[in-house]
Amino acid sequence: MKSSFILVVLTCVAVLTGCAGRVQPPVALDQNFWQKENPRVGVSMTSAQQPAAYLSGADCLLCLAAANIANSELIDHMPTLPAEDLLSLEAELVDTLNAQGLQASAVTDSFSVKHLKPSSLPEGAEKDFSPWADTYDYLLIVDVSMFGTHRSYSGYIPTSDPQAVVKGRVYMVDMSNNQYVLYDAFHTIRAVDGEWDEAPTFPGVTNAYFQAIESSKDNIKGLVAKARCKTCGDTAAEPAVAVSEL
Amino acid sequence: MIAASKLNVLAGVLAALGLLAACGSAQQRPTAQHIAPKVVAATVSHVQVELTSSPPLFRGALGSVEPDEANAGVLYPGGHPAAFLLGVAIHGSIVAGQKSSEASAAQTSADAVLGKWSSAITGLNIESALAGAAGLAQQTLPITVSTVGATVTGIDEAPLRLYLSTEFTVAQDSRTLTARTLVQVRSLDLSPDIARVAAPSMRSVKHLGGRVEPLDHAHSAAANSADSFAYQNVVEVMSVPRQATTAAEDISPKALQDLVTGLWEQTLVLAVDDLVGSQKDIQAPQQTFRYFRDGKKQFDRGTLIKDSGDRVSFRTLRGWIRSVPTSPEA
Repeated sequence: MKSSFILVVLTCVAVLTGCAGRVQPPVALDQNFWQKENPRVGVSMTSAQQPAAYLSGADCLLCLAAANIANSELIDHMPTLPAEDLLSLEAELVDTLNAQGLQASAVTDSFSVKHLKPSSLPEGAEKDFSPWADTYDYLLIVDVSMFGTHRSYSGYIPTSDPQAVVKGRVYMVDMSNNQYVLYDAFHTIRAVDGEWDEAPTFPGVTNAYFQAIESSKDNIKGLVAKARCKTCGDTAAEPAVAVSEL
Repeated sequence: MIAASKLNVLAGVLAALGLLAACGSAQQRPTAQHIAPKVVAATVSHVQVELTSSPPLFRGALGSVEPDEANAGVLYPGGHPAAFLLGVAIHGSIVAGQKSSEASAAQTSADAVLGKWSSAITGLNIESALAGAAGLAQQTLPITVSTVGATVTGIDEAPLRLYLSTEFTVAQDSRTLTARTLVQVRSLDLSPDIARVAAPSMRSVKHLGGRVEPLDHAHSAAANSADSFAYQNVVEVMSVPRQATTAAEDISPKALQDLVTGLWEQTLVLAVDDLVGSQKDIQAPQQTFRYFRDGKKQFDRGTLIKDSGDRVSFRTLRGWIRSVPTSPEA
């Protein structure tokens, strides 16, 4: 009886410690960042190549099959939407940083975060960015893990309408010490205005998709620009109506 | 006895399947097919306007809906297919009921903003506002615009009647008023000399949807008898934001009267332009428009119709026409 109890406790401890991975708290861009003379900043964006319709909560095989069938037209529609509006963020971030007096450039295609070795340091960036330390003083990475739509299920039953989503994280690494000087996760969700089930073109869902993209881009650029403006005192107003063409 | 039992099971399965289908599908709001204009511009010289939703409905603007990600697992009863399907159906009806009550509660909460507008709404002269809007629209449009009953001289042909059904939405900061109007032309009203079917390729947008609950009746009617309309579309016009200090006080009846007149004027201009005007925006590239609503940034995808500096009008992906001021401040 006693040995069983110990076994249960040990199992619980093992499970709980196994789940407790390192959680990176948000890091706001420090003022010291702006005191460097023309730092070289590499900007890279990693993302899924095309938008998709994500379903969650349909957690049995039959539930998943039913959910896929019920959303088949949306699943087919989402990859047909252009991703350029999101992917242009890399170039826009370069422009934003250059406009603030930095030497920013897009990182070459050969750069891949997932191919970097894990960092040996107990704290700081989870990857070892030192191979790029000679080229850049800082690396700004936007990692989009999910974009498209998301619909939640509880078994067979949808508990939400599809919502546009852009999810990921943005971080900047100081190449001198492999520490984050900026880290933030973003999860932008936009509900469809009105009816969503308008196959085959899904105008409501498509509009929400572009809304989520623009909102995410604004937030990400704000993480950099806002910190810059704390120092420079610049509060340049954004034009009320800006137009981005496809 | 056995046959009766089987029949009961079958009936149970069918009922459960019916419920499941109803609950599993999307929350269907009334939608209407976007009907491209079948009236040729050159043949229309007089438009007569009639309000079908009188008095118009005023509502508080709903904020953006944050999704509820809660989706705890549910165990369905086993042992018999009917019991299983019934379990799924009951689960579906509970979820649907929850969504409905949440939407209703959100609208009730949003309507609280109408407190500062209630006395002005009570004193609103609808006929005067519509007649004023028609008169102002006529100054912009190359055709005669009048309300039903108004005397118009010098025009022999029968007017093209435009039916309007409007919902007014007050922003939560009380600074802007938005008119969302369902505009329709009935086929029955078209006299043979002005009715001519336009090329079917004029417009590719087919669906209207959106948060149009106050227009339910009109939309349902349209959906049920789409062929009886020669044209229909939704035109949404947002007013220029009022000063924050002004918006903090109750709106005066005159200010609301002017506001409603102005919104209807712009609605008429845009609708008639859409109805009889050129279709040049159809070929325009899609763009993402940024503007402010309730003091918050708003993004919309569409094609540009007109940019007049202080106001931009565009066609949404649903084919609706939306007109918004370009500045967040008055």
